[in-house]
Amino acid sequence: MSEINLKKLDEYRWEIPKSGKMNVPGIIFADDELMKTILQDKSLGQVVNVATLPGIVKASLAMPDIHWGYGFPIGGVAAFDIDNGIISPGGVGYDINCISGNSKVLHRFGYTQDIERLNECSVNREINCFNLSNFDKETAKIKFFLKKKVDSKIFEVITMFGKHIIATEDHPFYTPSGFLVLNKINVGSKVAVTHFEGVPYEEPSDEIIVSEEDIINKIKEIKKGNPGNVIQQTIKFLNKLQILPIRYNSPILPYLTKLVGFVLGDGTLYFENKIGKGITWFFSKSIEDLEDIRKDISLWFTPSRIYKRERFHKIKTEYNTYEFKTTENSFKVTSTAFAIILHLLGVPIGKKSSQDFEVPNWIFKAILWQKRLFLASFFGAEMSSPKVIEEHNSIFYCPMLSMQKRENYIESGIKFLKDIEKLLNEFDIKVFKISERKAQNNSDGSYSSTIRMILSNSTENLINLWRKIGFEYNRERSYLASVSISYLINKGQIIQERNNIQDKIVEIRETAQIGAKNIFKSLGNTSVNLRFVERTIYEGKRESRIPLNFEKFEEYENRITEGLGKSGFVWDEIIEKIQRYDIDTVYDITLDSPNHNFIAEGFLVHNCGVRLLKTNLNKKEVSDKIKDLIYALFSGIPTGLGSSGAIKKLAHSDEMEISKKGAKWAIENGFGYKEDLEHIEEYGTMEGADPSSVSERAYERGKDQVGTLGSGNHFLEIDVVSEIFEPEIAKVFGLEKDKIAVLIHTGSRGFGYQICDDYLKTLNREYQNFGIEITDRQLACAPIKSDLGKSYYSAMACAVNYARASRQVITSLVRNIFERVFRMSPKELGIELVYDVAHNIAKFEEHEIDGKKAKLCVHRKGATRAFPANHPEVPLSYRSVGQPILIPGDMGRCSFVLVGTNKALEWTFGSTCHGAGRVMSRHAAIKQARARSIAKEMEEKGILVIAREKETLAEEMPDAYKNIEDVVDVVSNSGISKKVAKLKPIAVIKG
Amino acid sequence: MSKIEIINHTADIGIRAKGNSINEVFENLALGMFEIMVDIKQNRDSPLFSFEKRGTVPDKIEITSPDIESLAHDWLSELLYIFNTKHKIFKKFKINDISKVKNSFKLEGEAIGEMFNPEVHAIKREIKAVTYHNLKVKMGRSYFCCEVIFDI
Repeated sequence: MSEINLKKLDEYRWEIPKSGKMNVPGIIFADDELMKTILQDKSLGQVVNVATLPGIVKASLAMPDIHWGYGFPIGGVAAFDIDNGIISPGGVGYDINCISGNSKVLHRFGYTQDIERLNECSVNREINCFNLSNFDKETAKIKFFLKKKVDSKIFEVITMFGKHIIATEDHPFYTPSGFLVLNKINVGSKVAVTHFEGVPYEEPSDEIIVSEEDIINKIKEIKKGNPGNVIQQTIKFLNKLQILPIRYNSPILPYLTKLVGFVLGDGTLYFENKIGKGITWFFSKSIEDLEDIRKDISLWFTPSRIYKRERFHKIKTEYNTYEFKTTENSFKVTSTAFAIILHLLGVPIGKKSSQDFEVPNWIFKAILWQKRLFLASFFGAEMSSPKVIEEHNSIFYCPMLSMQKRENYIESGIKFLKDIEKLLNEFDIKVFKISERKAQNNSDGSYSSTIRMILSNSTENLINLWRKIGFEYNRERSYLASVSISYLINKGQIIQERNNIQDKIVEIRETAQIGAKNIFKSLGNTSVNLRFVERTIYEGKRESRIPLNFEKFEEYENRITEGLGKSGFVWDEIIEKIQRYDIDTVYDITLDSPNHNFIAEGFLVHNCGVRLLKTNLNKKEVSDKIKDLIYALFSGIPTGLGSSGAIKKLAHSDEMEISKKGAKWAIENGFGYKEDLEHIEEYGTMEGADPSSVSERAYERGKDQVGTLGSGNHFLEIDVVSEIFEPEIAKVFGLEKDKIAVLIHTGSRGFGYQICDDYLKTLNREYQNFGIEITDRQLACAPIKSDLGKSYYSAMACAVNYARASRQVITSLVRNIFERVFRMSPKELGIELVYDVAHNIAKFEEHEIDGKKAKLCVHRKGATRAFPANHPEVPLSYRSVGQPILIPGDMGRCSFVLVGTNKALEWTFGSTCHGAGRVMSRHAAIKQARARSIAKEMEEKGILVIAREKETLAEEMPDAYKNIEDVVDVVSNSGISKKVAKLKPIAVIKG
Repeated sequence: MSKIEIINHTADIGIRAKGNSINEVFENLALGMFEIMVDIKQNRDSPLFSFEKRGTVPDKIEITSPDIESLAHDWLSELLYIFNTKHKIFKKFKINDISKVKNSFKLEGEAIGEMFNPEVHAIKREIKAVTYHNLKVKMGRSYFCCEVIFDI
């Protein structure tokens, strides 16, 4: 990853300016010191990733507690336009990473060019490219071009199929486990490659092919000298499009070349009533292919929608009559200008079978890549698909082109195919023969012939054809061509290997004079059998054939394209990786990302949240009993495995009700007071939860975990309100200095994890069906509007509700334990819920964008909502001051209560940080904590800590986190929240 | 060569398991996962913890997944699921077969363990889930390896 351009906006805000494929800039809230720690991991790259997601509004935001997560950084906020509808942390890989200057980049027009010269190319400057790293077949626009001095290791990679590329160590390649950087790819790794190579780029001349005058004359000719104002209209229209005159280097020419090729095959062009409007039809079995054509045409002209109809055919041949039914898809372009241009470029008017026409002359004068476009598109319509002969599994049918011509026009048909042959020879592709056969008797007594051109099916010829020319406007054939090339290369390599073994057998035989069995043993090679050795010895060496058990094409196809769909990419294997020291400049292009609506996994599932309880107790009243209290809490609130829950095992029906009702279920079952609900987001119940979308396994895992604390960073802590910053607001929240408070941080536990796991598993199988590509399997996803997406959303809402119910039950347990330990009535204790807030959630909210109200889907991943005073979603009792924000720190420092501000609404969609944010890995923390007693260190600070799990204390030690005070200073100084109170822990239970 | 290594990640923990066969890698993966969760050293060693001993009733596990990576993920998730629902701690693993059936991979394995007992077992930390993040299985001629990151 090359460096990220970071601009300091003010003391607490940094901007990653919009560049490359970012749709919005990135904004990071941090001071200089925090920025230093942020720069240590990969989270800024993830901020950029989020900025590239479609539909993102304003900015990709990061709070000062940001750290490296999956997909989204933890501490990230992003809002998405509801109409473009994306709800996701996902996105496509971020790839500013470089390859060497002479790497060939394949252009969508089928020519290749050295990447270092790509920006010199004059045709269609906004070119659409894809390269080895961009496995998606969808074309993408080049957003920017990058050239830089080498500052990292460079490797040269060679694959089994003989491809090689030179790239920096951080250049990503597509592998079976998503995009991996070259550094992580080694000999033996699989990478996705495409076999199509096209031809080298050449600069076209500016010679005119179609001039304004040509068009005027043609209209006069067609309209029989009575053109009316058609000429004027047509010329005006074409001038508005700025496509006249059409030259060899006009941006429109590559498109027209393809269209001419296709229409000569599967299209037809005519003028209504012979002199009326020009109409051009395009036919294909594949709607996808027609869409590709429509997309090209709509850059200039307006195609119709696609029509679908069933056709009944009746064909009489010399021998028989055939009847069959086909589904035909088609669309038309109703435009005289379009029709005239295609006609001038060589498309005949009317039935092609009953008139003479030739390969247009201008094609012969075109350069190679333009000729290729014409041929590939004509072949996409007319040439037979790559196919192996069933009974000779490894041999392919000869590729074939055929044309129907009525008896008087046969000569011109033969001439046409001979012209194609001439063009093919320029690509070193050999034609086997051109033949004619009487095919059909017409109703008028005449006959039609089929004229065929058959290409040689030698391996070399086939590879040449499919690799250099291939197919345009035909995805299925392009795909088959790529697989077929792999198959042929593989076959060739096996034959070569067998030839080599033959040599070896002969050599052993000559030098060692041993028998076949012993030679076979000494080979130690399993790819040939004993019979092969015997034959070589007794019948002499000869050109090897492939073994009888050679993999069938279909099996090979499945294996080599597994997980790659019909993109035309196949799996290749790296056989050599060498470090290069002789390259000093590398290049990259950054591409647009495809637009997809999806809901991704691994995001909303662990909906943990925080809740704060206030009490009437003073610090003094508690200090004597703190040990009793914490042990009572520790034994009374189950943390994890094996601890018998305070709640007996739940029945399936109870769990379903919890999923639907959330905290409300807990209240209805005696865990707390009705008033509690008023201080929970959405009054404790998330809408849209459908218990039937949750699996049996999730219910099984969840049945004894309601009211348990869990582990890892989850905890329960007894705090003293140590400092009040905003007395008025603190009063409204019920917080008083030196009073005791309880902070609870936990989530949906095994129930949520299992939901995540179940849906990830399904999505990993299904996401490709939605046409979505992902860079990390953890981000498998589905469109939000698909059944699967909806079902996942309802399941996720169930997990949110489960978490809320669980925190409510814990609250009730805390109240009971306090009553027991202090022997006081609930009224005396005054344990009230201050607030319950989730900090891993996506919600639909209304925000102001450019002065207009817009409904957005706001994602807060490791970020907390921070709504200001008077916001309708703030509970009534707090509406005059704003929504409370609970920020737990690490166990040794402190926690904070903040309040939302208008600035947060303006800058961060009403969001702020969620905690301290890790800086140290768990492993590193354990290492550092070795020979230290974290519990003792904490005790010296006046904090009593108990943890059930052995390693938790070390992993969660204060040093593993950023200093919470630094984080909170940034959010309060920048104005996106206001400090209300500081809480100092005196006792902590870790799960 | 250590058969199980810890991989570092800021928020979570991963393991890299190696072996001379894919079966061995899967066995080591399971060992590694339980090692992250439970302090196995403090456990009693019972003669029943052996596939060869009579009287031992292993949990039989059969899994089918679309690819080898998913198979690793699903194998560990299944063990985690049993651990979480039955509160059983596994100590020994045996993969009888991993094979490709049509377009999917099938695993047949067994695991032996004992019921969780807080007197005997020390839980080190909870694994929330087996993630797909950076999940990879490497299969060479005689070198096999798998990397998994757990959500802690």
